[in-house]
Amino acid sequence: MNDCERHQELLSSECAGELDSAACERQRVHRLSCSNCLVAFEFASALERLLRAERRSPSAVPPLPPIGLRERTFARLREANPRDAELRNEPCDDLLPALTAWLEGDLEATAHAPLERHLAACVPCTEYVAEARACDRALALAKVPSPPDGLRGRIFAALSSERSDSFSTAAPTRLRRVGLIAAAAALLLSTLLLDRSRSVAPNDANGRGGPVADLRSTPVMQHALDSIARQRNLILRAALDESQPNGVGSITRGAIVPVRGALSTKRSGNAWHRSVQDALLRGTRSEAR
Amino acid sequence: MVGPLESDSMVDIANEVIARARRGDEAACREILATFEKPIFQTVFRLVGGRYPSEIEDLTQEIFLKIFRALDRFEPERGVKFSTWIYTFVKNHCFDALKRKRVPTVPIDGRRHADDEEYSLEPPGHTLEPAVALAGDELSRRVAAAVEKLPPDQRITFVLREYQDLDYQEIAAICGCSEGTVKSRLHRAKEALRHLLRTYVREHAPTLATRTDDSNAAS
Repeated sequence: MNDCERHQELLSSECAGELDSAACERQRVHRLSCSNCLVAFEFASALERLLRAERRSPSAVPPLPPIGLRERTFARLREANPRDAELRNEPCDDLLPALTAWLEGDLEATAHAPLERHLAACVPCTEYVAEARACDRALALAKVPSPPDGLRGRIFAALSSERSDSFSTAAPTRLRRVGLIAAAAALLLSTLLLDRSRSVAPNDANGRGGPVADLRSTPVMQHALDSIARQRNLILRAALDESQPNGVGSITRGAIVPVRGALSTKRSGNAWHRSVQDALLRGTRSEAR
Repeated sequence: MVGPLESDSMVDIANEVIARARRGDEAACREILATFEKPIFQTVFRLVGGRYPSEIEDLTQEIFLKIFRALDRFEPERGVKFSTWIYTFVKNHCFDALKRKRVPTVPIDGRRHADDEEYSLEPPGHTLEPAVALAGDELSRRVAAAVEKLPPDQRITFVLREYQDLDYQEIAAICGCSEGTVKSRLHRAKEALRHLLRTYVREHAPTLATRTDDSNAAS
């Protein structure tokens, strides 16, 4: 790090009064021999004074930095460092919030005149505004796709089937499938819990029967369980067929348990595992449609 | 205001229609669906489309079902616009979807594998290309990619303001924050987008200046 870079790094701390006396002295000595750093120091000091004035009287509209000071500063720095690509004309940092608010039409009326006077004389800020407006135009010209044909019909069909509670006639949606799976999970959980409680307090003298058996035997629950098993079985069958499992075995005993067991064997490694998962996803997506 | 969709998006619906929809009136439900289908689909596209293009239709459908299920909870007498209420569902559902996508997936057998990081609920070979195909030309692709890079809070604020033409008060109600926060997020979003699109805009400034809004009729 050369002297100019070190000076630049400590500049804001120096202007804020955060440096010790020895460091301040080193900064001052360097400026005696470096006109570029002297200009940078003068600019930073002026900015700090403005900020302090604003903090003292927050209601007052703060005065703007002298017109062209930033530009002159960067011009001098570019002369000193012609190869430094970072030293480009940038908008005045302290005015960026005001410029953005002005572009959005949110700037207070009292701040318009001083900002426009600044813009009339500050090339980087003017270029920034022009570029921002071009960007806004680009954002406005960007296309957004319209809904595909048939989406409205599908939504309405799902809504109609939901309102009429006719699960079997409506095309299954992902939402309904999730609901069915949740219902199955809840049923399974209640089965386990109630089975456990039944072992403690049997329903009859022989310890048989109980509320779960009654629940599962109801037509509504039978229908729900059949529906879940049928849907999951179809998807999983398709997935296993597509993924060409090696010796996975039958999945006719049920929808989930045998496949879970087959996957856990990892007979053909993770590649096969992934292909099953991908196929499951494709099946899920196509079924949801 | 950049909004090319202003004519589509400045919509709301009569309380009488909502009341009929609550009672199960099919025509009223169809009217609500017809009114908000396009704005909601396009908002979902802007919020999640770049990342999960195949899910836009599913999410739109799920949002509408949620809305219709919750119609009884809408209280127009409290001064809330129906569109504001609806966009709250859009925002929450899309954010939930994005959060779900970030959750690491667990294999079906419940065990983690050495290459779990490669597992994802996204379709195999997922890239931005499907969204790009939806978005259309080069400019639209650039904008879609830039909007996608915004943090979610800034993205929803930008989309609702610039593409759906909601005012600060409505956006604040939807996002659950103050109007000042909305303005601040919008400014930061615009700054970020200008920065992201700067190179493209510089290279294509003459073309952009001569393009007309006619070309923006989304297909």
